[in-house]
Amino acid sequence: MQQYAIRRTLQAIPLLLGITLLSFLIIQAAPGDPAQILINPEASAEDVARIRTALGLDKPVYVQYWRWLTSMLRGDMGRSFLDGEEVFRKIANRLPNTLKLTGCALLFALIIAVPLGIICATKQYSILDYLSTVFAFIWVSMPSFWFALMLILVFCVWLRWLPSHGMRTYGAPFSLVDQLRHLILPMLALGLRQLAGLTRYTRSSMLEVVRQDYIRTARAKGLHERVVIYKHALRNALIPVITILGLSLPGLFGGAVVVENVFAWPGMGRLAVQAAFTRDYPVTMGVLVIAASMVVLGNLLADLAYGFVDPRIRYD
Amino acid sequence: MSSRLRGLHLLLVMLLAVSLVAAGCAPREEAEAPPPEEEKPEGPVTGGILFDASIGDATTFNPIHVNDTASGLISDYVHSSLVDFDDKINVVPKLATSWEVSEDGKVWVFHLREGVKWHDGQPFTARDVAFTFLSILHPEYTGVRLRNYSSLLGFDEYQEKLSQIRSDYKDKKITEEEYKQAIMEAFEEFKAGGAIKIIDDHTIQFTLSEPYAPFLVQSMAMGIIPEHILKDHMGATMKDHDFTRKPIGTGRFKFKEWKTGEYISVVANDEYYEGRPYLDEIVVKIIPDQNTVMAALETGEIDMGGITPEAFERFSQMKHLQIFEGPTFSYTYMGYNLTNPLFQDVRVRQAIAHAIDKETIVAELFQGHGIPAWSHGSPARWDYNPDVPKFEYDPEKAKQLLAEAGWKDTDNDGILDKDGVKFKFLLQTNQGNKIREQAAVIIQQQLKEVGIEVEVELVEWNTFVNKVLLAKNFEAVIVGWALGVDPDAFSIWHSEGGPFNFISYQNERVDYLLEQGRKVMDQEQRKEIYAEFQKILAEEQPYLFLYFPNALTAVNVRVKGPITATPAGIRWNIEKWWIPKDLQGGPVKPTQ
Repeated sequence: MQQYAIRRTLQAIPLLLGITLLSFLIIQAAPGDPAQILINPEASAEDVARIRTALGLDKPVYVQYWRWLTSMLRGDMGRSFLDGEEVFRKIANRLPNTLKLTGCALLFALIIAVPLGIICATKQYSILDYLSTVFAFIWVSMPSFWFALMLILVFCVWLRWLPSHGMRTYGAPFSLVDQLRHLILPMLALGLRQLAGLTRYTRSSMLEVVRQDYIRTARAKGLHERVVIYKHALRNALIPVITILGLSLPGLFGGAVVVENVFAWPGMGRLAVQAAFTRDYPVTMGVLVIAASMVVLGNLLADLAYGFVDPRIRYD
Repeated sequence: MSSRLRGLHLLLVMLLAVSLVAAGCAPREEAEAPPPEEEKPEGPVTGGILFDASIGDATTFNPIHVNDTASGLISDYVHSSLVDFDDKINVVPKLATSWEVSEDGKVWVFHLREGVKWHDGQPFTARDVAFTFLSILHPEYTGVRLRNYSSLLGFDEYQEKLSQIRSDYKDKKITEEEYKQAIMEAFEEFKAGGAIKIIDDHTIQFTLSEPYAPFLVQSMAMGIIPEHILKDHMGATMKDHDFTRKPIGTGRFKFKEWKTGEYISVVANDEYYEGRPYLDEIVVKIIPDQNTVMAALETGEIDMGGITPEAFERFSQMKHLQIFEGPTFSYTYMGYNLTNPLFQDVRVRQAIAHAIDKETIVAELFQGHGIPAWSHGSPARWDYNPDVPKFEYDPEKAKQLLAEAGWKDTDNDGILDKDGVKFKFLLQTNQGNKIREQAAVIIQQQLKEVGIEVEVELVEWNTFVNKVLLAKNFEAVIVGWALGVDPDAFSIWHSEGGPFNFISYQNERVDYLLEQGRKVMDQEQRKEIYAEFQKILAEEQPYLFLYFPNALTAVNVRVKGPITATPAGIRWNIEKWWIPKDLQGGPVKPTQ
């Protein structure tokens, strides 16, 4: 198990390197020179050349990448082209906010999706099952920015229950209630989509498991139905759900970009969008490295979690 | 006063909607929503926090580097300049109390206000002024304001020398050491030339190479930065200095805090030389989505913010908001590539003007909150010439003019042709600006009626600017200009000196007028010059001038004025705004 974990971690290194290289090339290929964007279009060719030199953009791409990579490995993520702030500080300011939002959204989705999926599977074709199916389709197909705006319209403008934007009330002392009130809507906007998918997966996985022989055996033993479902079936049904969880991380980060924008949530997604539009290479790369690492880590954790839930899987 | 307008004379407008923060407005009748409290007469009182909203976050608060709306907004509160503008865009004294120009228009002497203190208590002197402008002229300066100082004595020679040194360095003729030394020598030489001279602690003199009318508004409305803090950072390292994020100025408000992505706050400067602002604090919340800004206005979570034309009617009904509408200096146009044979006949361009119904465009896209544009010049600026040829909507006339120019539908396919060539062209505009996209579609439809086929293409902004506009690689484009406070339009229309003349317009008379307009100092004479200039453009139609949108801003009723809207922004006199004592707890909420 330990060996497996180490091996997987080591495997993640070339993967991450590959991601950074590919990202670097794609960013460089995007039209629009950062130097040109930094100064006004009126600037002369010399002005642009001067700034290109200052930013190191006059060097060949492989040199630029090597420079970026080596300083990155030393822990220096560089400074933003746009405002000169250290990329590390920029990300450190924003990352906790994004983690808070995505973490809560995922937790919210899990807490509801798993029990709901089980009920839908055990009470297949019941009203609840149909309802959850309908809502799952609605949430999955609804564009998240639109759903977010609808949430604002209903809960802020019509009902006046919750604040429409931000993470806290300006100037107010720290209060958990205040933070939660600000969190609810973005969490719903991000989480409901995940919830819809997870419910469907839990349901179908559960349906499959309850048809297995060992479940019939358990039932034949005269075990209580609750024990059959929650003790025998659930553990097995959750295996694919864990995979889906790991795979849903990129979707969560992607969704956070939109949700953060609508709710003025000061997270990493907004940082990424701004950096991409202004061709702020160091910030874009910094955000990509962090996001990629987290996705890779998420998948690694999902793989390791198999070992706990699935006795058929042994790592050696 | 918005620094979006000051200093920079012309800037491409990316999204008209984004200018909401710096948007200008004129008061609409306020009688509509009188709060009951207004009965008892009450004078301005101090106190209260005003909650403002900005779509974009700031990047820097160093005025010499500012290049976006949010940064400019805060920079305007924290810093002050030698001169500024009032609501009529007249120049008013600020850090300079008076100034004189020599007979020949080349020497400007400014007398500075005495007793002004920086926010950290240090005295303000002429040394700070010289330091500010020299920082912009420094060879390692990376901001966008350099060209605003091109009228200074010795500027051209200095820049030529620098570019020579840079190309030598690029060709590896000199080492990095030599390069650094050479550019600094060139800088010292320029300084020794005497373009900027400190006469005494409170007098400073600028010498120009030739008379330059826009000097005062283009060059002097720049926030002054403190020498005592930045003196060792003139040049490349200034951008990384803490000052960029924690500025010290001489302005109305002192910088308090910047939580990136969340808010920026400033507090009243008790020592402000024109008197303390009434408001205790201004908090600018960063809310990137326009819809969220409007929701927050509606719920009374913020005091002010821009609204869209579609929302105007609904917001006008809300008792807790006052709506201000005002003209802007930004117009949108369709530019033709005049090197393309399709557009070289002036009759064709006039025909296209007749084929497009600008009134409909304004009504459809702005619900009437805008005005059609007929030439290059804002109705809100003193040089505006209302008496220019207007090619009103008249499709029949359009067809007739096209026929005169030889364009007829010989093969009956609904598209005009001439010598076997069909009249069709590609119309490009930038992605993400819904209004421009819709304007393109209306133009497409209306031109189809007169037999011209248009294909519309949307291009990402940076690609659009670099690969389409500046590369002159297009047939027709829809884009806009945010005009400056001065009418000088040299860089857009001059056939040789115009870096923004990407449509390749050439007219000798226009070239002459633009040159004269910069040299002549008398405003009346300049007005005549620009009137003729606008008339020629309206006649020749090098652009299809489309519209000036109005800026719409909603302000909570608790905020008292005088709130007047100007093309340079509604916030220009924010130090005079106040909130009655009993309403200082927060914005007035809507009644349910």
